[in-house]
Amino acid sequence: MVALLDMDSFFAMIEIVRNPFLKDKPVAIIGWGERTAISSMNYAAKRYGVKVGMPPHMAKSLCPQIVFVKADFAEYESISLGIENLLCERFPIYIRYSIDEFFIDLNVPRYLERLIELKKEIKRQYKLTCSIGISPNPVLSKIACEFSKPDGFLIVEKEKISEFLQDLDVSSIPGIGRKTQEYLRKIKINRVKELVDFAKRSVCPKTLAELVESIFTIDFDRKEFFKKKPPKSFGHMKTLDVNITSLSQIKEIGFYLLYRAFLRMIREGYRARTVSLILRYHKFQTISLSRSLKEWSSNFLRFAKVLEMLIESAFNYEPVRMLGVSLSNLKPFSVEQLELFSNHEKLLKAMSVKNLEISSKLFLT
Amino acid sequence: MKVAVEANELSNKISIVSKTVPSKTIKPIMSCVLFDVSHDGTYLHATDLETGVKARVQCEPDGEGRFAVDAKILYEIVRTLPSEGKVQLSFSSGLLAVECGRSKFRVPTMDPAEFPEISLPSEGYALDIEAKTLSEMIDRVVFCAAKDEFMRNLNGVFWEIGKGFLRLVASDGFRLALAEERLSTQSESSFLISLKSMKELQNIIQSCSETRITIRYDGKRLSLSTSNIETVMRVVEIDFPDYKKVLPKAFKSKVIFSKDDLIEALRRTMVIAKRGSESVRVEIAEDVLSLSSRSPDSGEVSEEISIRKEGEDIIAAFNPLFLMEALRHVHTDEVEFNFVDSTSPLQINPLNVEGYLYIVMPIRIV
Repeated sequence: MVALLDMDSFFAMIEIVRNPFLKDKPVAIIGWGERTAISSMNYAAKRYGVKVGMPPHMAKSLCPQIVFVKADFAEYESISLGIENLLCERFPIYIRYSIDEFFIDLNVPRYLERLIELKKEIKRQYKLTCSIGISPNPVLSKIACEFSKPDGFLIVEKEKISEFLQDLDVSSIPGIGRKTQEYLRKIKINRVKELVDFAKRSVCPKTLAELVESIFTIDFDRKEFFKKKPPKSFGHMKTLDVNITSLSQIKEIGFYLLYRAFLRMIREGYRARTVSLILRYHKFQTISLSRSLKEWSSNFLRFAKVLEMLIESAFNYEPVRMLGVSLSNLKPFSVEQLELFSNHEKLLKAMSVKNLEISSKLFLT
Repeated sequence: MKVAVEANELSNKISIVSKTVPSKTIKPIMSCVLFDVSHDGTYLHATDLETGVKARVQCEPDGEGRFAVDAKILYEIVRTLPSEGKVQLSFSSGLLAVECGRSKFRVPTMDPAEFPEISLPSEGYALDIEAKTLSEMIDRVVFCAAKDEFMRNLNGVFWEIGKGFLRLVASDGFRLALAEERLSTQSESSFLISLKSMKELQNIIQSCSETRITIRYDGKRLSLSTSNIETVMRVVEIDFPDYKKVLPKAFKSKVIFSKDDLIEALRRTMVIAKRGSESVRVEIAEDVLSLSSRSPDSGEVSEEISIRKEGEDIIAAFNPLFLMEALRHVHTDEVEFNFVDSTSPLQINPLNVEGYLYIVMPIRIV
């Protein structure tokens, strides 16, 4: 059996815990820029039809009393790591699927007790609720989890799969998007049981038939699914509030994005060789450039120098609307070659901190 | 205008100057070599705007003139011609004809007026040094310079001229090489020359026939004139790190051993090290230096060599390639390793030879 633990309205609930004034009000979390979209909302907002990815003005027209809260991603990330710590104390095998979702291998004794204890502990420590779906395969666990929300706990035993699914709407199956739903509704398929019958017919598209089959799988490849896949790169992108034409500002933002990518890379224990830059100009012309070091490095200053050179060669003084930086060509960080002329503390003091402050101001105002 | 030249001589001079021609350039003229035939002699010019080279070609000119021709094409043509025999170069109406035996080439040329002028500093400080000595000094440090061009302050060799000495220093940030020679110098100055220019300089010193050469420095440019070749290189206007700060002052342990013994042991250790963490553990205990390395997939290795030790036992880890490259540039049979501790720079000296040292930073096992 496999479980999916999904935090309920994660970002919105964190903000509500931090600010009880928001309790019972429709709340949506938005980014810092003017071109932002909604990244999370509570159930009160969901009832008005507010959805993830919606621009704030649209949400406001659906729900005039909605309260927008600007995202504090550092806080969300830190709580997510805290939850992961509670999880790994109880379950040896799991994967972090996103900032607020974890698939857990239940091939351990007393797994139900452990899950209930975990759910309680998250509530006790963070005052946040989560929902847990348990079934023989990950897709079904996801469906069960969504079905049980909020604060749910649902087990779908292998004998009960058909019974559980038959009356569900086809939209509850992950992987069936808006287009597929439209197609299915046109041919009068609304419920999963109708979809199951359709999947048996030869006219059913192959991918759809395979998707339906995956929900009923009872022996999925557990080893492959829970295998930790090494990351290919660490990167950050930023759509700017206002278009920028100043080289020094582009550099500042670039260093800020690099710094965030660098910290994540170091935290996950990797070194990199390649620095990549993406610049999108106001007319949506996009330029991407990469450059590799001769050796793998874990030195921020070296990456910053490469990035500076990339920016200088890519930037043509036209207004920039989006900037992305990534570190790739990774290797696990098992040894650290010490440097003659610098150390990390000096380095951050000399270069990033100053730039970070400037960049943060840029984003916040 | 016509020039008759020995194929060998032409090939040799084009080979020297064409190393300066940039491999990628926005301006097509920069990918050319310039032929300058005048009553002063026949000269081949090439430049990447940082380094300029002017080589005198021994030939029989008929007339005067200048033309610029693609360096790559000309070099390939000359290389494929029979090495014995004369090459006839004729320039007229914007075309260069190259004839040798029964081979005939006609290649387009470019406007020589667009070619940047190469002028040598006429003033400035002159340093007289034995060609072999300078060449050895360059050879001993240049491999330590950072290869990445964006590390501008380390992508070159730092020259320090003091009262009575010339010192060359190069570092890639992980290791450092220093070579020093006593000279009768009176003035003091220091500057950084890019790695590309240094390789050019080395190339010219090694191809010249003089035993002594004169290096000239005017505050912005460094130049070298030999009987047949003149070169000028721009100083990189960026500060080299304060290397004196990182030179270890006192040591806790001094170890002397046979250079060949360690090179052999390192060579074997690297078989495993390069498949693992690319590090080698160095343990000094009593009169033995042990090397070991392991790889999760390829196994492990341990080696021992005999040493003479003064001071404490020590354990540290290093990139074996850094140790190997240092040892290969030491010309004595015995070498000295001077340790401070496992996280401080290791100083390597050839035994009883002054003027050369090598510093390498250890690796911290995470």
